Amino acid sequence: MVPLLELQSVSKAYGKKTALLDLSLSVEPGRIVGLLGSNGSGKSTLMQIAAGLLHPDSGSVRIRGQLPGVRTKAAVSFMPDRPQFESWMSIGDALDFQRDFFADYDADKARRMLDFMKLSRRDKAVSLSKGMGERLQLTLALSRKASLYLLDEPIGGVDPVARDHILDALVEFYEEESSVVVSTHLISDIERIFDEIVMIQGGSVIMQGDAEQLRMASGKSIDQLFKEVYAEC
Amino acid sequence: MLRLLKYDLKRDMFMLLGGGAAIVLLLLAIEIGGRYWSMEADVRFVLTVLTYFFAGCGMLVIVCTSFRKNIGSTSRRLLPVHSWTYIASAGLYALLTGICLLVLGIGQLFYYWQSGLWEELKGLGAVNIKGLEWLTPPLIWLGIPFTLLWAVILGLSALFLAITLTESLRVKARSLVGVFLFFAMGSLLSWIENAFFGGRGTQAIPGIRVESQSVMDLRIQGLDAGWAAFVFEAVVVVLCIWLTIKLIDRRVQIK
Repeated sequence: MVPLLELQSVSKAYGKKTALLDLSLSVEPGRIVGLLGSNGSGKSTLMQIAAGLLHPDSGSVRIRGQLPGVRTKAAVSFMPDRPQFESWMSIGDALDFQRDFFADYDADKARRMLDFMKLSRRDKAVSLSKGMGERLQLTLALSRKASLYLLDEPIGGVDPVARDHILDALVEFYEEESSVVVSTHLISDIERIFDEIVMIQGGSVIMQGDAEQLRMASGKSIDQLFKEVYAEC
Repeated sequence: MLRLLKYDLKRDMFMLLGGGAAIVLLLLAIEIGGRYWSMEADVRFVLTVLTYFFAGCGMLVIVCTSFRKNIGSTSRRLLPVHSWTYIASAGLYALLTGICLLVLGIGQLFYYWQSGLWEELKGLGAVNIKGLEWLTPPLIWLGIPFTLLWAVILGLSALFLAITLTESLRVKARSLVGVFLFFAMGSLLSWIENAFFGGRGTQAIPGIRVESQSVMDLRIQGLDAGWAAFVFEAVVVVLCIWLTIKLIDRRVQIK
């Protein structure tokens, strides 16, 4: 089976600063993958490369066997760690924007998500609080029936109640035959949904495996494991 | 391309409508207020031409700002569209706003002809059309729009390249580099057209020129450009667009 996302020996640097170093990773269909790492470990760079926003300096990236480009952008739904909507837009405008450009936009799902997230189409997107803004970002990303969802820090900077709501929405609305890659450093709240985890540090993978197997083998939660691994680094 | 343009227009709607209303009000103030305060026809004409000139500059700024925002915006760059679409939609945006200004200008010219102001201005020596002497009327009406369109395409392709390069750099004074690049390209193009094509070309990209002029001329440049200069400029346009696409794909920083 062709992996949904495959990175082979990918490296990326910003000037003298290395963001990714010889990183290889493969994501199979139907998995929720936690991309775990501390701040500056290269998570966002990896996400942006997979979304087709950045080009690696070396190595290869394939999405459903294809090089990043127009076709892969149509198959990947990316929730960046910054506002995806434009400052002039209302929530309705932001959803219409998705509808106009993505063939896999699901209007019915978007409507159900708006209700679930307690968002109104008439509200101005920039006037939303941090938590509500994250809800909108997730609504925009999950309102599509994409093959691969890339969620960059979906619960960063929001209160615990909003966090739970966002995670519930993620579990409720993602397409089961698709894969989801969630990058985060707030693991305790989110680890329950992961099938697989990938820990990165300094742009390289330092641990990878099935979440349940790792828990069983170590006798620890992923959060504890993460703290242990990063204390050593 | 059209969908991108739709969202560009939605984003800039208030600025475009406000700007359009301001231009119309200013033109009316010059014409009606000017007559009320006994302003000479040639003074009103110069003020009107200046209004159109600054309106054109303003529209160019709006289009360039829109292009710059689009190539660096996460939401736009995530869309499943080719990079040339950003260039094409910005070009279309320029064309659309240019047509609006042109329609306004044609309306004003019609008024000038109908009211006899045009002849009066020619009599005063305020209007001095150059560059059309050798053309017959059908060629004039085909040549002027084509030359204008070609000048816009050439100028915009160079501007878009300069903007894209600016957005690709990671240095502090990158805007200055972009401005320098744009004028350097204009000067180089102008020098090549002077050296190899006898100065025949649209010269749509402003180079650094020192010129002394006391009378306002409507100088129609480029109508006699010739095929060699045209082919040369076409190569420049293709090169600029190709480089812009490569930079958007590979180097532009996304904010």
